[in-house]
Order: sequence, then C-alpha cells, then structure tokens
Amino acid sequence: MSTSTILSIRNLSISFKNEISEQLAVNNINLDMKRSQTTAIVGESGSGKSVTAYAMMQLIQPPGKITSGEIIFSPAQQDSFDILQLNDNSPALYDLRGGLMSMIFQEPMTALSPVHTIGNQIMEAILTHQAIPKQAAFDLAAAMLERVGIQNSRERMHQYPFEFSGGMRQRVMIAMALVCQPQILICDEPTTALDVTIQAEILALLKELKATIDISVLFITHDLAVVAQIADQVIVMNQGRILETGSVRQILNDPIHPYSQGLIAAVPGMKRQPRLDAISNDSTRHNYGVHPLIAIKGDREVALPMPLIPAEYQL
Amino acid sequence: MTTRNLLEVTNLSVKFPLLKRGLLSKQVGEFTAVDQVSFEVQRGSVLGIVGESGSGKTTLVRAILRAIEPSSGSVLFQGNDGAVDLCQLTHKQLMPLRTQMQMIFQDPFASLNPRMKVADIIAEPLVIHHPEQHLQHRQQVIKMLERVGLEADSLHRFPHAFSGGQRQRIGIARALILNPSLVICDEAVSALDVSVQAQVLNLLADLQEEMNLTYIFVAHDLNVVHHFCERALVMYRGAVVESGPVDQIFTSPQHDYTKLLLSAIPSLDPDIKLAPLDRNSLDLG
Repeated sequence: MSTSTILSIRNLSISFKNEISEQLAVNNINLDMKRSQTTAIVGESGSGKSVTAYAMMQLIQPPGKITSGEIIFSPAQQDSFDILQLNDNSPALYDLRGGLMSMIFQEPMTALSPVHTIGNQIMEAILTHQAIPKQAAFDLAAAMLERVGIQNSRERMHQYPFEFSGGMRQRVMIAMALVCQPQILICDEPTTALDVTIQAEILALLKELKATIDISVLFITHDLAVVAQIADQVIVMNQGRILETGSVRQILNDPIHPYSQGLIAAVPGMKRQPRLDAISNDSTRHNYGVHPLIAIKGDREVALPMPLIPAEYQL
Repeated sequence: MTTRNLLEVTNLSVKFPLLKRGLLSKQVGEFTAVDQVSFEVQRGSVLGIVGESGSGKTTLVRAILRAIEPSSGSVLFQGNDGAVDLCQLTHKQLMPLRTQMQMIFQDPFASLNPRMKVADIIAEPLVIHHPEQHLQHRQQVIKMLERVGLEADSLHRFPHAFSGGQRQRIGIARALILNPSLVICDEAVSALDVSVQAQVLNLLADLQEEMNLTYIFVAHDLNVVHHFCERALVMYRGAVVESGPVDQIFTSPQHDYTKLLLSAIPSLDPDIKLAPLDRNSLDLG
C-alpha cells in the first residue's frame, strides 16, 4: 500500500439478515481513500454507501454483520491497522471514533441531543479524547464554533439545538466533528436536508476548512452537483457494488458505466427538456450487476459485463 | 375573472398571533407569514413557488386551500359551477369544492397513515366525498393504482412495505382519485433521490396531460422548478419578490434574492466553481 492512501477497504461484505432472507448491503467492495483528498461515494438510497461509511467506524448494528473483508487505516505518524480487527471495547476503537475519524450526519436535529446544550455536547467530544481541564475544553469548543462561522459563540454555547436553524445546526455538527482534529471526516449527506442557499454556505465552509486543515474527507451523497463541487475522487455505488471509480472530471464529464450516465441524465438541468431520463430498476439490476468484470485504465476502474467493456480497458 | 384562469389570488395575507408566555397568554403582536400575495394560475399550467425554508411557501398554499385560515385577501377559484371566493365560504360550503383541489405532500413517510392499507388510504377521499358510490370505490382505486404505476397486489400492503418513490406514488394516487382540477405539490419530490425524483416528475407530467391538471408546485430546488414549471413566484419573508416565466427568472433575475438563489445552485461541471453571493452584501429588503 502506498503512503498516499489513508484508508483502504479490501473485499468488504456486509449482510443484513432477517428470518426470511439475507441481504448483502455491501458486496465485496474494494476502495482506496487518498490522503488529504475528498472522496465522494454516490448512489441511490439502498446502494450501500452509508453502510460502508458506518463500517469504517465499526458502527454496524445487528442484524447487520460484516461478513468479510478488512479496512486498513493508516493514520499519520502511526502504524496502520485493520479497523475491523478492533475489539468492541478496545481503547483503540474509542480513540478512532471521534478522535482519528469523525462523522457528520444528514439530519442535524436527530444527531444532536435535544436536552443538552451545544457547548455541553462539543465539550463532551473533547473531554472524551483529551485530558484537559473543563475550562480549556470550553475555550476550545467556543473557538471551534467561531471557526465554523457561529458568532457570539460564548453565549451560544449555552443554547440548545432547537434555538439554532438547520444550517447553524449543521455548523455545530461540523464543529463537533472537527474539534478533536480527526484525520478522516465522513460526511453522510450533510447538505441533503438543507435549502440550496444554506447548502452553498455549508459547502463553502467545508471547502474552506479543507483548505486550511489537513484532513481526508469521505463525502456521501446522491447529489451529483454537490459531488462536482467538492470531490476529487468519485465512487459510484449501486446495489452494494462499486460500479465505477475515477476522478471527478472523468466521472462527470465522461462516465463509462451506463448507470453513471443514467444518474447524470436524471438531474434536472438548467436546459429545459420535456422528460427526464429516469433510470429503470431492471436495467441496473439485471444487466450490469450480475457477473461484472473489473476493467482498469490508469487510475480509472469500471465494473461491467464483458461485452460492454470499452476496448482500451484492461481486465 | 376570466375563465382561462383557474385560480386568482389577490392580496392574500396570513398572520399568526405572537403570544406572551404564561398561563394567561396575551397577544403581544403579529407575525406576517404571508404578506399581500397576488397571482393567478392558468388552467392546465404549472406554477412554481420557490424560496428558502421559512419564506412562507407552504403557508401560502395551505391558505389557498383554507387549511390555514387567511387573515385577509381573496382566492377566486374557477370551480365546476362557476367562480367562487374560497375565503368567503363556510367549511360546509367548502366541502364539495374540496374534491376539485388536492394536495401532494413532501414527506412520503409522514403523510401516509402507517396503520392503513394502501387500498384504504387511496379510497379515503372517496369514502368522505362520495360515500353513496361505495360499490365502485374498489374499481376506481385499482384503476388509479395502475395509472400511477403500482402493481395491483400493492392494495393489501401497508405503507412501510414501500420505498420512498412508491410511497410518493401512493400519495399521488390519493390526491388524484377525486379527479381534481387543481393539485398542489408541496415539495413533492424534495425527499427523493435524483433518479426516483426523475421518475416521479415524469409521472406528474404524464398525469397532467391525461387528466388535464393544473399544478402549483412548491419547491426549494430551482433546477426542478426550471424543469417542471412554466411560471414561477420567488418568495422571501412572506412576500413575492419576483414572478414571471421561469426562463425569464433564470436568465435575467431582477431581485437580489433571486440572484442569491441562482448563485447557490451547484453546477454539474466540476470546472464551474460554486460562488454564492454574500447574503449580507445584497439588498434583500
């Protein structure tokens, strides 16, 4: 593994089992996250993108189960290790969650506790991971809130989540996630619940933070326009499989996989057209998902059945 | 009122009382959620209403249906028996008119009763408005299901067994079963993934043609409005700041708030960087 890879997932499978059937939410995927870059996972609901991210922090709850694979994490100035080998109550896992790696969720209202003040919740994150006095933690938290664009942070530390608007709550989430200076930040659809103007503000904030802090970001979304604005690398997922990986320009300007092409065509554009090209479920499930081969050209990968693979690609 | 217009809204305002906290709460002021809004909707057209959350879009459309009582103004509706001002009617007088205007809601999870089967959900408007024809209800429900692209075996299942897009189809079937002329879509596709959103938008467009519907389409996604609507209103803090054909709004926005909204749309091209205007530097009135 090269030093520029901060996280590498190998042959990961996650299944959800009920009385009747077993569903593979993630089906034998491989992916690499490059250090200090933004990697985006795109896909519809049910494609396994969130589950993959949850597995990175060992947050898969029963009936979900990681059936195989490894997630190799190589933090800076530390030896790399397999996250999936960590014991449930090992100190290394506590360090990982919120310390080395943290997460921003889609719905800030449900991710924040309604009965604790904002300050309390951010300080909890700090005090869990650092042995510093409470006053220092308070100062640190207030400075972080200021950093993410919340004014009067010292007064606002004493307020509850319901006193904040949706965009402000998401800023609080970002502050909470970044306060322990993690090396990987996972953003699970952080702007999906927001208005377009607020979304633009949050994206601008994330970009600005990314430029000043050395951090690797995993960005999960179904909105390709957001991907275009924020990502370096793009991974297209569907039905638990990775269909295509490449740089943001490769995927958006020249998608190879028919499913990626469909996703892009389904975005209502600024040019008017009578009908949108919706993706029909049958086409993805039956034609592309079964027995694909992985073809590679340079740093681009695509999973397709044999007849559909472009000639310049190698298996 | 010309017969070409299905709906004419004039100076519609909705005010909510601001109450002092306490046991004997006293009214200390008023909050104007919708402020003197006027517009008209032509029969067979699609009017978009855009604005950020809190701008009064939903309050406006609910006030049109009298789901929220408007404080002042008039809503002239061209019903099957001539034009009426919805604001002047009693609830009893409104009942027969309600069959002609229906609503599709944003959240396909919250807007369907989890304890009712799909057949009962879709039939409920019929049970309320046409109880005397109960023998034909089932037939109508099956026809409607087919029309919105759901299998007939969906009838006896509960909403939890369906995906978000399918649930939205159930909501659409419920809204259209009474054969309304005006359908209000309140963020009907906002909660859906882009590919499912495309399917639902296509379905709404097909149904409009087949059933000769008029839509009022509330959304905060400007691309969707641009794709789907012919005219649009831009709302900010309860007031309409700009209105006109969507192409005109998108190519030459007049109001600063419209410019702000347009500048916040991320482009699909990674080389076109998002550069939202600064809210504080604009004259938003």
